Amino acid sequence: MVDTPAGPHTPISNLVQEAAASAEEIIEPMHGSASGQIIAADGACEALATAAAFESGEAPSAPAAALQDIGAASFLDPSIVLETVHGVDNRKRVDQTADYPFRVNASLLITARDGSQWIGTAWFVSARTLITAGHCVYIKGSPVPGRDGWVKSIQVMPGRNGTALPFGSVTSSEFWSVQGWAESGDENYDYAAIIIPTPLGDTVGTLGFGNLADGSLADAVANVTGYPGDQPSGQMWYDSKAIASVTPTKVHYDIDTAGGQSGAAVYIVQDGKRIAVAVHAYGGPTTNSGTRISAPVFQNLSSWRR
Amino acid sequence: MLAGTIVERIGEPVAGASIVVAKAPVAVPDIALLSAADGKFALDAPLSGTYRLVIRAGERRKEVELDVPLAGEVGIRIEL
Repeated sequence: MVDTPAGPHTPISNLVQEAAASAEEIIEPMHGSASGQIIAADGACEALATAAAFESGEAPSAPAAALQDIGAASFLDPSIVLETVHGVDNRKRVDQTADYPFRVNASLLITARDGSQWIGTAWFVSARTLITAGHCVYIKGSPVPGRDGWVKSIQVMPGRNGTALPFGSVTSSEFWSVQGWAESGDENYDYAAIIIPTPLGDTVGTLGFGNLADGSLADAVANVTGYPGDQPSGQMWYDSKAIASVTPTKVHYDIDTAGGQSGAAVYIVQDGKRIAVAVHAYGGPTTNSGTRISAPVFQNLSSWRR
Repeated sequence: MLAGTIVERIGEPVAGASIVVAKAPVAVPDIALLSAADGKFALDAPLSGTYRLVIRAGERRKEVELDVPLAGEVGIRIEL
């Protein structure tokens, strides 16, 4: 029997719930029943059929010059600068979003308490459960009155590719997070679950997830796939790099991401299986970071599976 | 706080444009906001310093860099 985590990792929900189901000891990925390819990993990374959006070693094409022709923001002293992610943008567009493993990722359209709308990413861990960032389901520390708290609803769109929804969409109003995030707004506890009413995870498949030791994460290649808001709406993008560093609660990496990818799985490939080790949450000045799937996080993720 | 309005060149508001914080003086949640029906948006700016926003509406894309002071609200009008 698995003990429910306590303290900041105490799980909470916007709905009154019975006790969560017992967790499994090992969580393996599932391919799902949908037709389409099961794409084998290319070593530690994904093999993408589409060409890279930006050629390796080249900077994005002169956004500063182009932007000056479009217009100007009116403000005290604006300046237009080149886009950078971290150095050269190495992200690749994913076009095979209906194939495994990419179809386990879902584009999120989040409606907050105050009616504002946001973009995020989530990934399936079971038939009806997706994992995402805590701040995708519970907004914390906003300066806007009435915005903080559980979001009202989330539209979940698995395998979205631009305007195409190969697996349709479903709306959720059942969310889980932990006290460390919802009550304290502590970034070290920024993770959550979305429960959907239909078992789409049986169709699209799931990622595995695990609580791995520091030695297994050091220098491992991590992969992140999600829906960045700086690209055309609904496009899935991917990047991978070696993990930069880990702490007991976070994983840091120089994988290029942008706003909208909050909640994406940070996963490694072990024996051909995709195993999530963190939940992407923050964009930083030099590295990005995710909430590490430590033992209590693993227990909560396991117990949230429906 | 970073608040603003996204408009077309003719001044019409742009609803549903995504606003991404691409650069900030501190790590920020990697979530993107969509502009409201009136083109308005409001984002947290946790520290004073330089912030870069990337705005995307369809194929149109715009970057804006702003200096946020120690306290108060910074307002901006962004024309796509």
